[in-house]
Amino acid sequence: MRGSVGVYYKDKLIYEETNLLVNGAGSLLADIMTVSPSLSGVPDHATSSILDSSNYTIQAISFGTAQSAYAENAHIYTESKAYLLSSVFGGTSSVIDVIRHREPLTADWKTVSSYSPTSLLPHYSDPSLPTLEVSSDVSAVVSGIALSSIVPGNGQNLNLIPSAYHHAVFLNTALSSLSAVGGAILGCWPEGSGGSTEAGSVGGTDFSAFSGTSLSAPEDVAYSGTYNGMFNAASSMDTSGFVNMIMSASPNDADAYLMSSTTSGLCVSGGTDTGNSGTVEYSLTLGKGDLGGANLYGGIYNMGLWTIDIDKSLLAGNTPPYSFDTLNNPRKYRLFAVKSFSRNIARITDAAGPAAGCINYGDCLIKWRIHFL
Amino acid sequence: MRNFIDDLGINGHLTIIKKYNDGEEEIVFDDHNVIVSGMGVGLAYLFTGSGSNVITDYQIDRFQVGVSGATSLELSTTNSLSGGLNYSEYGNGSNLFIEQCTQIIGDKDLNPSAFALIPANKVTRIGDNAVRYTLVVDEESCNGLAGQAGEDEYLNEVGLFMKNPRGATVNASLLVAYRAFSIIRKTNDFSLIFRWTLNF
Repeated sequence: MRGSVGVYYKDKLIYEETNLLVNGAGSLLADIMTVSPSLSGVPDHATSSILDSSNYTIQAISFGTAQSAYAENAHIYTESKAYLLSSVFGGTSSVIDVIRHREPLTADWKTVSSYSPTSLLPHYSDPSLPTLEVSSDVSAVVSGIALSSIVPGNGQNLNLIPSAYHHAVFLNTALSSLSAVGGAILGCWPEGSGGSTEAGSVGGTDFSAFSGTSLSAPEDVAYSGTYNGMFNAASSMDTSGFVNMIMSASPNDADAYLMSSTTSGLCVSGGTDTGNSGTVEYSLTLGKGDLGGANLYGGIYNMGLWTIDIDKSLLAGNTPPYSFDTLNNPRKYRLFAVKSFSRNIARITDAAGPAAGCINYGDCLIKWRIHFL
Repeated sequence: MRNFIDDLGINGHLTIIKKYNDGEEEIVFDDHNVIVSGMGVGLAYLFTGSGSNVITDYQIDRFQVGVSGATSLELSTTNSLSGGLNYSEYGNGSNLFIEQCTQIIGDKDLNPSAFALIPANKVTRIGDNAVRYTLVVDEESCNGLAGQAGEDEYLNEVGLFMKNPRGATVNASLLVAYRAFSIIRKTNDFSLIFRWTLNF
């Protein structure tokens, strides 16, 4: 285990531990050392842009959970759930439904309003892994078609709840008419508060936790609410779950941009003169709505820093400069560093008094530091 | 706390070969090298976005040889060769291309310093995470080195440099790897080949 990741919840440091630099980091440096300088002489801008240094730095962060969690929690599909998604809620796309587990419910448990994901521990630390998890295919089958055959897992939490995203991803597939159901099963990040829904709500994504072993009727709802996603409000996360790096700020560089808000995407800051520690810090705010939404889909056990994989990006037919696009991102990424947690950082419990845990989340700040000196 | 270089496990290996005019080769040195803090400084410039905007400025494309090496310099804090050669000492008739530019030494800049450039075709990727640099000091280079009092001087240190991580108008290079070795009196009877492999 290597590195340095700090997690601040409601302005309090709750977790700090080393991370792991994976083989992708070494491969990136080898790429840097061997890219051909002759490309600078090519008049074609797209070709010469391969030499732009931004193609070789950290450009994204992503989150995920344990492999087994992708077959549990809000990823579970049942006919009654599909009925609820398509009928009871008026066909709205912004719904997360989850069955409370630990059946049969005891009298005490029936009063709990915090979801505890069914999950096992994430994959053991392995520097050769190219993704956060070995496999994250969602096992649900909708109308006889495996969702993973249309949207295979990529080792992390996807971002397919917003209607524009799941409509586009399922377009021209056998499940195009059921894209809302597919998006709700695949998850995992709520819509932003500024978004609109087909049901006409003010935004965000409604969630409901049901008692019983099936989602048989709205009256079985144990607790419910609305999560407003920060990632989707800022359009900082693409459909694959990568949060874009948005700004640099170097305190010793007079020409640098001012530090941007960590609510807008992944921020990087640091200095390089001999008077400081040579530390580069990547920071990001995980919004309370995003924490709540991710928790219903299995929580957050993994995080990863990613650079652009320029070889894969070029092979996909995309040439630099690579602009970030949430729906059709031309950037292909390469894993640089990972952090796996032994506890779900999106966990929540009911607070004393009337505060239900599910609606009592606060923002979480991630500070990921890499020490170069 | 372990730093990026430690965590990533960047290391290197240096083999020095004497190649005589008749084709005979003799390995005179074969050992690990030292990755110095300049590697971290250069990469920090890259990852903070505060250095050059061109990735080739972060490449290792030059080296120096010197005459005052010592094992006591094989530390991560070493930031320059103890006795790097000047422009004329590399030899006017050699095939080396020598560039005189700035050298970053701690918080100071030394200008000018002489660097021998590594041709791009001498930089070879030999694995997913490994790069080999082949530095050739040919028969006509670095011969007959003498000190100020006329005494013979011997090559005994070598360093690899990152080209220009700050993105300065005039290249400002940074020592990233260093190694001292047993003394070699360079003559025109042989060329010296430094086969240097870095594992990232």
